[in-house]
Amino acid sequence: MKRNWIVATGMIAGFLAIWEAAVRLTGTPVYIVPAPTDIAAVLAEDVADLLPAAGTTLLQALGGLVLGGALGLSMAAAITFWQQLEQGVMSLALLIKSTPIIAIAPILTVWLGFGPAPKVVVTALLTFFPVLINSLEGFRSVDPAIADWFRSVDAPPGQYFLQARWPSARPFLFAALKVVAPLSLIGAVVAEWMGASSGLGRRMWLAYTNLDMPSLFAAVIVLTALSAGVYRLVITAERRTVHWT
Amino acid sequence: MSLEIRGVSKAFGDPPVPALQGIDFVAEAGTFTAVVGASGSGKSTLLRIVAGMTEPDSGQVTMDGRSPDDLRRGKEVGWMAQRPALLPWRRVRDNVALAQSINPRPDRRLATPDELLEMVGLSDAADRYPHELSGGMQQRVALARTLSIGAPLWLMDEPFAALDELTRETLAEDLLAIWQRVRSTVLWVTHHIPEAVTLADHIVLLTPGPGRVAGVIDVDLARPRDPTSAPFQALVRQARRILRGAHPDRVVA
Repeated sequence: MKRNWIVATGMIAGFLAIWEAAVRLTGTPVYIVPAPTDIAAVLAEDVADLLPAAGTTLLQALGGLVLGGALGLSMAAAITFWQQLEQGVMSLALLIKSTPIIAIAPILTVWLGFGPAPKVVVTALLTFFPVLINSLEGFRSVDPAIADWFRSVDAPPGQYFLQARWPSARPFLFAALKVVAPLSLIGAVVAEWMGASSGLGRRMWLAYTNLDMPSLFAAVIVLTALSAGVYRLVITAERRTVHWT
Repeated sequence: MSLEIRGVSKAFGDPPVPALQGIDFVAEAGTFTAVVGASGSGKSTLLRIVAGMTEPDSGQVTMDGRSPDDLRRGKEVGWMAQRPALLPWRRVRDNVALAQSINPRPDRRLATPDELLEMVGLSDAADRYPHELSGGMQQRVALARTLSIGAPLWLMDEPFAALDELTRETLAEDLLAIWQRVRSTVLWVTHHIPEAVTLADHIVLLTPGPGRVAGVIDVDLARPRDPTSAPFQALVRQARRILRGAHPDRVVA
């Protein structure tokens, strides 16, 4: 394990060294490709601004994740209780999935303003469908032998849901979360690009319009770190709550 | 509680392929009845019909005049299948306790989960998860769970079929010891004739698909039964003869 870490760190260090040397030796302008040391300098200099921006983006992403996840999960649960809802819900969900989010983000900004609301909605739209599909699959994945046993004791639907369907769905839900949790950050950033007063997306957009590549790269690095952190959190939560797989 | 199965038939598919035809027998209260037949003879279908999990096309099942659905609603059916079907997210004790907490029957005096686990020899495993146990231990937990609701009817679908022979024999002995104390009515499905002769008071032999009653054997031997004894062997041979007569190209163990 420790050796893997050493190898990984060594590879990243080697990559950064090659990048630095290539930029310096070729004299590539900083507005095309900044050297790692230029980016590191911006990271150190702007940390006081980057951290609040990251916090804003993270909160908006989490807000959207919770909203989209809760909607997806509750709709999947509703379908398991009332199967006649399936066609209607799935048609609506497919419509949302097929809509290019990047195209509706500006519309949402016009409707909902420059505050957190459009970011939360965009993120929720991104996360809703995977959570819905995986949860539904999970709720329906109860081992038939377990289902038979619940029938034999005439378990009421609510108890069957809580004791069999919900635990059976948890591995599926975490599989969805591993995809949508990092995706929620992308959703929030994309929405921020369309118009925001703060956040990493806002900083990226400003850096891009000013051709300030070191700042743009610095924001990307913070976003990547956030994304990796969120993914790690999901993995840890999965290990604690789905211990039997 | 005596179980009456009258003219039960069931077919599946389109066009319908008959699985059971006119099954007719009675399992008296407190007796152990084994249903024996080759694969495809509809044994498991019959058990599901008795449990109220599958509707028969014709005929009826009653227990003291009550339907399978009534029995299930009254938590009077103890169900045990080939796979233990334990909930992997619950500890052993919680698996056993679950049956009592679902749809509880306060009028029934029940043993506690710990008492039941002691009965099946698993006191030490109460705090473990099912995946930490062997197949035999998991089936013991399933047995404790079946016993936990104090059901007067046990429906058992080859519960030890997936286990090795030694574990199977030990579990069968333990099951018999518990049953002799509780005396619920048991319907036990198996394709293994010696197992049926070891356990049952009566053996209902089914023809291979569609299942019909090929014969009924009363096992009038004292327990514990010695599989090497002449009367035991004679009953095994008699059961084989009946089944071979019903379908000469099928082999039953």
